Amino acid sequence: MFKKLFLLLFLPASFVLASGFSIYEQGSRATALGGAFIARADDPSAVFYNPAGISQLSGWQISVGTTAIQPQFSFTGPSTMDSKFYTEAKKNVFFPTHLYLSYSIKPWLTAGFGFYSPFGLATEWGTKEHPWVGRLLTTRTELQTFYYNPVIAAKLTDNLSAAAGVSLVQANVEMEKDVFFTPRNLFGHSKLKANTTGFGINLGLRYTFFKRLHLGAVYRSSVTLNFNDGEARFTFPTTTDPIINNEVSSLFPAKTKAKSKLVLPATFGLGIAYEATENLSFEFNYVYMGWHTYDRLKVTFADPVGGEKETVSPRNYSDSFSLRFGIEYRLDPHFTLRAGYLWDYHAVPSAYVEPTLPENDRHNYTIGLGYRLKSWSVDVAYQILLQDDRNIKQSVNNFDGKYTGIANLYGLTVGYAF
Amino acid sequence: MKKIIRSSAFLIILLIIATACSLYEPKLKSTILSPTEKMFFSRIVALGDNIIAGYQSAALTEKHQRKNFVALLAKQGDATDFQQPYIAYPGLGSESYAGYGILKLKYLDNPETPQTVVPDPVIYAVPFADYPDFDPINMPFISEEVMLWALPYNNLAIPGIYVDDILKATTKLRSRSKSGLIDVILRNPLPDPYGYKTAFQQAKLYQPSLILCWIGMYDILSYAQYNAIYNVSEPPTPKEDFAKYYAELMDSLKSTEAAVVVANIPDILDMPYFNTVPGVVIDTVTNTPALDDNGNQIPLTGVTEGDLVLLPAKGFIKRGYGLPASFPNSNGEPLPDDVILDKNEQEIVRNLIDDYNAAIDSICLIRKIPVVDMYSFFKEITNTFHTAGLTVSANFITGGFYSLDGIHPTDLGHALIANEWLRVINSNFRVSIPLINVIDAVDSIQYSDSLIVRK
Repeated sequence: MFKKLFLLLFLPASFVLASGFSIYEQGSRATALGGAFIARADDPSAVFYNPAGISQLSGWQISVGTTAIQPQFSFTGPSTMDSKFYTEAKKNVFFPTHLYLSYSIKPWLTAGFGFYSPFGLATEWGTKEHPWVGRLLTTRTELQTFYYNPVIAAKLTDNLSAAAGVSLVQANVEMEKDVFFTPRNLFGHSKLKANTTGFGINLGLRYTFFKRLHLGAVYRSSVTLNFNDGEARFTFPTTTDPIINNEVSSLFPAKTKAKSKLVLPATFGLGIAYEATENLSFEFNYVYMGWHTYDRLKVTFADPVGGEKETVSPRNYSDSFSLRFGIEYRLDPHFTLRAGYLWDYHAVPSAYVEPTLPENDRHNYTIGLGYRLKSWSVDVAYQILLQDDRNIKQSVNNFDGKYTGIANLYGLTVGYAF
Repeated sequence: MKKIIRSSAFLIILLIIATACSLYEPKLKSTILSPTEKMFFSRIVALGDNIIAGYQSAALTEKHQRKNFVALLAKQGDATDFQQPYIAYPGLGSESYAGYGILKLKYLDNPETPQTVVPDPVIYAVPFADYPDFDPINMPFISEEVMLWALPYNNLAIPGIYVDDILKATTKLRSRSKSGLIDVILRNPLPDPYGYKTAFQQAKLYQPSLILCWIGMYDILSYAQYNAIYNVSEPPTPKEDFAKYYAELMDSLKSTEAAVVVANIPDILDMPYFNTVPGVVIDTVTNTPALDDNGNQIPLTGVTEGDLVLLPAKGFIKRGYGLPASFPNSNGEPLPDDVILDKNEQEIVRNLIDDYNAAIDSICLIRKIPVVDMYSFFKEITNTFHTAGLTVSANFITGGFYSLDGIHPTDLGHALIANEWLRVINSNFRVSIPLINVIDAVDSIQYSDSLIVRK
C-alpha cells in the first residue's frame, strides 16, 4: 500500500477546485465531511485544516494520501461567432497529494508537519492540430503549489489549544497561448514558464465546551510569489519569405526572461462541531478567502515582445467564501460513515471569467467511509462538484458564452499511529 | 444488523464511484442549417461598390475575392455554384493604368533605414510584368470557366461605381463613374438574346433569393481620395440625387421579390488613408517628427492645421514636396492640394456621409429593408475592437482591419464584417445561420498565402 501511495505522491499535478484556484481537499476524512473540519481537527490533516487540532493527537502519527480529481469543463460560444459552438476542455486527472506528521512532545505540546497543495490550476483547451476558438486567450495553463508547513501546537488550558506554523511554498507555473502577428497574418505560440518560492504563516485556535461542543478558528496568510526568473518562449511557423522570418524573429524573441507576481490569498475559517451522541457528530464551517489579491496578471519581459515589454491582463477577483457541512456516524469501532455538503461562492466576477479558470458557484456533495484497525486507519471519500452554468455577457475579452463544469473527486488517505 | 448496514454502505459507495457523473454534452455541437435556410442562401447575389466586391490593397484579385464577406456568407449559408468574377493575380485596380496590380508589404520596417525609432514600412505594387501570363485587357480572369460562366456572377459589385450605375451602367463608357471594372464584371454585351444588361438586370436574370447591396461609399470616396489619372473636379453626388437614385434602386431590388439587405456608409475619414501621414516634417533617420531649434514640430508647406494628409502624399514628400526650403532634399514645392483634405472638404465629406446615411435609413425603413449599420461597426474598429483575444484597430498595417491601401478591409476585416451582416440577416429573416469563427478564418488566411512551410 505504501509503495503505491508514494508513486502517486510524486506525480505533481493539481486542479482548480474550490473558488478561484484553491484546493481544499487535503485529507480524505475532511473531504468526506464536505471539508468541515476546523472545529473537529482530530487527525493529522489538522495541520492543514486547523493546526491547533493536533494537540489532541498522541505519540507519533502519520498520514498520507491523495485526491484524484477528474474535472470536466466546457465552453459554448463565443456568441460573437457561433453561439452554439461547443468546446470541451481536455479531460485530465490530477493527484494533489498530502502528507502529515505529528508528534506529541509533551502532553501539552505537539509538533506537526504538513505537505500539501492548497492552490492549483490546470486547464487545457484544443490541440495543436485542432486549435480552439479561444487560442489567443489560453491553450494551456498550469499552476502548482507545494506547501511545506511545520507547526507547533500547545494546550493552553484543558479546553483551549493554540497553534502556529510557517509555510515554505514552492510554486510552478506554465502558461501557453497563441499569439497573432497581425501585419503578416501569422499565428505563433507563446509559452511562459516560471518557478519560485514564497513564505507564509498559519495560526489555529480550538476550544471545547462540555467535551461535546468544539469551536475552531484558523488563519492562513497570503503568500507572495515573485516569479523573477521565468522564461518566455515564442515559436512561429517558418514561412517561405526570409524577410517575414526575420521580422518574426526580431519581434518575437525565441527565448527571453520573464517575470511576474502572484499573491495567493489569505484564508480565514471558523468552525463549530457538536457531538450529538457518542457515535454521531456534526460540523459546520465558514471559510473566507481573500481573492482580491489577484487583481491582474502582469508579465514583464527582458526583451520586448512584439514591441511591448509587458503585458497586463486584468483579473479583478473578489473575495469569496464557502459554507461547509459534514456529518459523521460511527457504526462500530472499525467503521465510520461520513457525508457532507458544501457551497462555494465564486471569486471571479462575471466580466473577468475566461477559459483559464471557468469557475462559478458550486454545489458539492460528499460521501465517505473510514476504517480503523489497531494502529491503522484508511479513509476514502467521494465528492461530486456541480458547478452552476455560467452565461457570460460583456466579458473584458469579448469572449462571451456559456461555461459549464463538473468534477469527480476520489480521496484516499492512510494513517498510522506509532 | 450492523453487518448488513456495513456491506450496503460499501456497495453504495462503490456504486457511486463506478457511476461517476459526467458533463452533459449537447447533441448539437454547432449550428446546422435547415433546408429552408439553405434555400434562402441558394441564389445569393451581391451588388455595390468596392468593399462588397472584395477589392483590397488597391486591387480586385481572386486571392482576396475568395475571402470577401459575400463569399464567406455564401459559405456559411451553404450556397452551391457560387461564382464571382475572379481576377487572376496580381489583380486589377487603381494602379493598373500604370501596369501594376495589388499592393504588397515588403518590409514592416525598411532595413535601409535601420535607425528608425518608428517602423518605416515599405509597400510596393506588384507589376504586371512579373506575371507574363496575366493579360489585364483581354483575359484578366483566373480561368476560361470563370470568364465564360454561363450565369451572371453571384457577386456583381463593381469597385469604383456610383449609386446610379447599378441601375444604369452597362459599360464603362455608358456609366457615370467610368470605372474600368464595369466592362470586366458585366461582360457586356451578353450572348444573344440578352445583349447589354446592367448589374441590376443581370442580378434579376438570376432570380435571386437574397440580394446584398452596399453602395454609396465610392460616391464620396471618389471626391475625397487622390486620383492619379484625372482630377475629380466634379463634386460628389449631391444628397438629393443620391436619395433619388437610392430609392429607385431599392424599389428595383424589391421588385425581384428576393430578400434584400443593405448597409450604410462608414465614416471614410476614420480610415488610415486619411490618418497615417502626419502633416509635419518627418526626420528620415528616426522616422519621428523633426524639430526646429525651439523644439517644435515643423509643418509641411501647403498644409495648415486641421488638414488631413492623404496616404499618397508619402510619395510626394519623398520627392521633396512639402519640405521647407531649409531642408536639403526639398524641391521647393508645397505639398499638392490633391493629397490634402482641408477642413472645408472634410466638412463636405462628413455632411455627405450623414446625409446619405439618413437617406438610406428613411428609404429602407418605409420599404422594410434591413440596414447593416456599417457606420457604427467601422467606428467600433476605430475605437479598437476586441474579440476572443484578437485586437483589431484602424491603425495602418498593424491594426489588422484595413488593407495596404488604407481604405478597404483585409480578409480579417471581411470575416468581421460578414458576422455583422449575418447578425442582421438572422434577426430579420427568421433564419439562424451560424456566425463565422473568425479565429479559424484567420488561421486559413495564413495558409492562403502559401507562405507557411507545412510540415
